[in-house]
Amino acid sequence: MAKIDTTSLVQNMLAAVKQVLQLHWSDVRPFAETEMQKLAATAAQIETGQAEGTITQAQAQILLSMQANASQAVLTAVETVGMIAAQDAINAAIQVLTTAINKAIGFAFL
Amino acid sequence: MAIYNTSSTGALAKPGSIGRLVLLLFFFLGAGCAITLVGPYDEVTDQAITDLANRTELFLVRMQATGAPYQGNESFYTDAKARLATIRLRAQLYANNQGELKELDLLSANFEKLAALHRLGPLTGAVGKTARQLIETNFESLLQIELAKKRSSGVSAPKT
Repeated sequence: MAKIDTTSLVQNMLAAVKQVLQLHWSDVRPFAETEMQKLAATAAQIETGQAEGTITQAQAQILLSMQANASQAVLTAVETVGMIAAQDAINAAIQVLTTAINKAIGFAFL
Repeated sequence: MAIYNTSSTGALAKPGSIGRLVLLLFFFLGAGCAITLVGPYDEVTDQAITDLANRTELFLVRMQATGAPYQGNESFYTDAKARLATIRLRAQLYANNQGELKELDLLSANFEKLAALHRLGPLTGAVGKTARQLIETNFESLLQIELAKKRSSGVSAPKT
């Protein structure tokens, strides 16, 4: 029966986890940065609009409420993508382990 | 099957750590499937969200260009609310889908605020521009989750 080399197994599992996490991070990072910049810009627009008289106080109140809502949406997205990344990282590690075990015992047990 | 430890250095390479990691993964393996922390990708939901985003963009661009009042355009808001309710109905069928459901609720609330804003006056100039950017942020957040789910379906898809 083949033996499992835990050192290389752990290395392979970590490599799989890293690859998955990087994939999600490369998506979520530009999204979070862009959205935070946009939210800051809209706050400035509301302030300027009110100062210039193009946005009334009633309109500003609604827009600020919409902004709070949109900010929550961005944070929820980042949190959810983080959970998806964690899920994928665990499953990628399980997949490496499954392959190693099946190879060691000589047939597709798992 | 024999498992032996060939490592000698590093925190992760310590026999105790490796044992715990392997035991933890055996626990998941014992469950016989991939773990699911977030509901799966659903193409119909993704399409419906994209479709509603397109309709909303068209509406807001038209409102910005024409300065049309709320009266006469109420149907857009009722249609959008109905479409969102249908998307939510489908999304809540999946377990662990709280993130997506929260996003849909936030978008629905922002549609209500947009309607209130429209009742105060036309969606033109700074008002129209800012409102449009904020609604876009809601849609982008929702679509970011769909994108991550779609990407995830290649890694965490249930084995058949």
